[in-house]
Amino acid sequence: MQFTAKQSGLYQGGESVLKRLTYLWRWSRDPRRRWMWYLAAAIIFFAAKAVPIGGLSPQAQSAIAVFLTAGFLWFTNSFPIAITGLLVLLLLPLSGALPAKEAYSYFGSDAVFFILGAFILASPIMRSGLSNRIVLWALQRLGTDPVLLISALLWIPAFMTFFINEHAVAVMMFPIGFELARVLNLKPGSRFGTAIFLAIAWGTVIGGMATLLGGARAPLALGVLKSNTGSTISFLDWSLAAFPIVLSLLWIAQLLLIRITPRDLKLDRLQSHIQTRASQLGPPSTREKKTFALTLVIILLWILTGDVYGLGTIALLGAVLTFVIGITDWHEIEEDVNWGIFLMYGGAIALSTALQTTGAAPFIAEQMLPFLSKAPQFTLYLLTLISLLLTEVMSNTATVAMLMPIALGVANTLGLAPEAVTLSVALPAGLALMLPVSTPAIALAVGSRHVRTVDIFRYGALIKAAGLVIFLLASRYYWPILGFTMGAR
Amino acid sequence: MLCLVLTDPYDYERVLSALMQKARERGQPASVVFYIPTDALHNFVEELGEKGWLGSSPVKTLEHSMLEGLKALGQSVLEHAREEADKFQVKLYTKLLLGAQEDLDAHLRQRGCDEIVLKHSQWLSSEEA
Repeated sequence: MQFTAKQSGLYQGGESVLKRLTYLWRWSRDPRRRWMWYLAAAIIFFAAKAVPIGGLSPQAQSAIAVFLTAGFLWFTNSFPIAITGLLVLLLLPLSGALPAKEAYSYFGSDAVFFILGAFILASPIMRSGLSNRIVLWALQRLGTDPVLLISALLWIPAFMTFFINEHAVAVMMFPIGFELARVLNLKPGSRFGTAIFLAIAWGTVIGGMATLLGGARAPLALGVLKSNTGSTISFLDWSLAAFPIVLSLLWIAQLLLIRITPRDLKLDRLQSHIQTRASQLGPPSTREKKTFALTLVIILLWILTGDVYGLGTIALLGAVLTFVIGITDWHEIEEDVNWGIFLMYGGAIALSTALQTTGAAPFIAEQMLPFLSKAPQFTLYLLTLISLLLTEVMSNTATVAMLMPIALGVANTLGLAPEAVTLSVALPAGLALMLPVSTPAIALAVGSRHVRTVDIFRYGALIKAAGLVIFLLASRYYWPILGFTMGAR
Repeated sequence: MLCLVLTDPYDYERVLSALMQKARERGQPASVVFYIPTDALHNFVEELGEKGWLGSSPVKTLEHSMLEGLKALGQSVLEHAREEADKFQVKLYTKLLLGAQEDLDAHLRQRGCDEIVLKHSQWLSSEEA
């Protein structure tokens, strides 16, 4: 049996350096060779511990060693993200950076309970059929014209991420995208297929930045801010800071999608399919009505009383009420919530606190001072740029976990407002649009095989470039109006 | 028999034409398999689930819908292959195959493939592929 390997890019003659590196990367990612990454992490940890650094306490040096090791593991994704969080909790006491009792206490952070409650609340929204009903309701009205349909596929998931985690929205929307592609019999690489999946991916990613509910990174950033400085940003303030940016980016995405979308497509078959699907739903169930009402109440409580009771407390109230009013059961919650996030959160918050309390973060900031002190504004822009770039190659939660402690150290040293620094890191960390590895929604768009990687990259780069400009303008002119002054205090 | 295995609905047209050309010159039938490595798809979705903090239920839903989407694309590719075969007047066997690497091997052996062209994408490839 003769075998010809005609693969896309691998083993072909005249391989570029990039292709060779890609091959080497894939080769090293084989589970049988994972030990190499673990060994590298161990070398980083022990080297960082052993190299003498003047002016640094042993505790601070240990904290830096743990930070570098965790950063390496998060960056290379050698361990599951949550397990790296667990490793942090193991290494902090073991290396002497923090006492065990203190390290474990960061599981008690408000941010951890906020995300727990938000995840539990999201479960009945999806399970009751409420989310599907909203999507079908909008598609019934907007699915009459190709451009309107694509706009709906951009704005519906964006709207839903204001209330539900963006990845959960992606999981809900992509099957709808597949269904539309099937009903319309779209061929691979068709412009309409590309537009459908780009719209869903961009809608979920961009919309996910708008509120604290859209992505796990925002509550994590708040958790790190609170544990390091004692200050926080309210639910409403965060949303107000993010909304103009999100709306501008959605508008830019819409312009790009309109250019891609063919106008001459007949959608009659799709319309009748959507009508059938909508009629199958029947009238809204009691469970849907209760879920809708509870979600509204909890969001209002977050906005109106979040500062008084804490976001975590209100989220827990919402979680308990889902059981009290009978819109969920424990079996569903167990299936819908990924409990690993809590390990990641506990580890990340403990790590950032260890860097701060041991003096490691201020030490790193002081080393950077000669390059940064002359232009504090530039420092913030640089943080935005680093966050935008880093989030393309690693999980956005990990980006926040790695950048926030250093950013807060720099803010403290330069006398910058930590709230503004938090926004400058956490909001851009959500804008992962260029690479299939960047975030699940983008990976799903590529995985649908209706969107080519090159399209993801070039269109994503355009939105990203616009995003950088918008972030910088917002930080310079808009956030100060809300009280988030970027300049030195 | 000349056999073509595809895992990607893109950029296969040239290799498909070449296969048809060769099959016609040899006066042999040809076979096109659109292969969906379910283990690789499972790993892909699991990884997304981990990255997006998804629970086991949404991950299963996603895997199912992705599989359905890929099957639809695979059918579309095979339909195009059949049209090409008609143009070249080549007898063509087509198959949409879901399964592990061993299932693909078994299918190719059973089909009697003596020359195989594999065109697969990097995003969805089994460790062994």
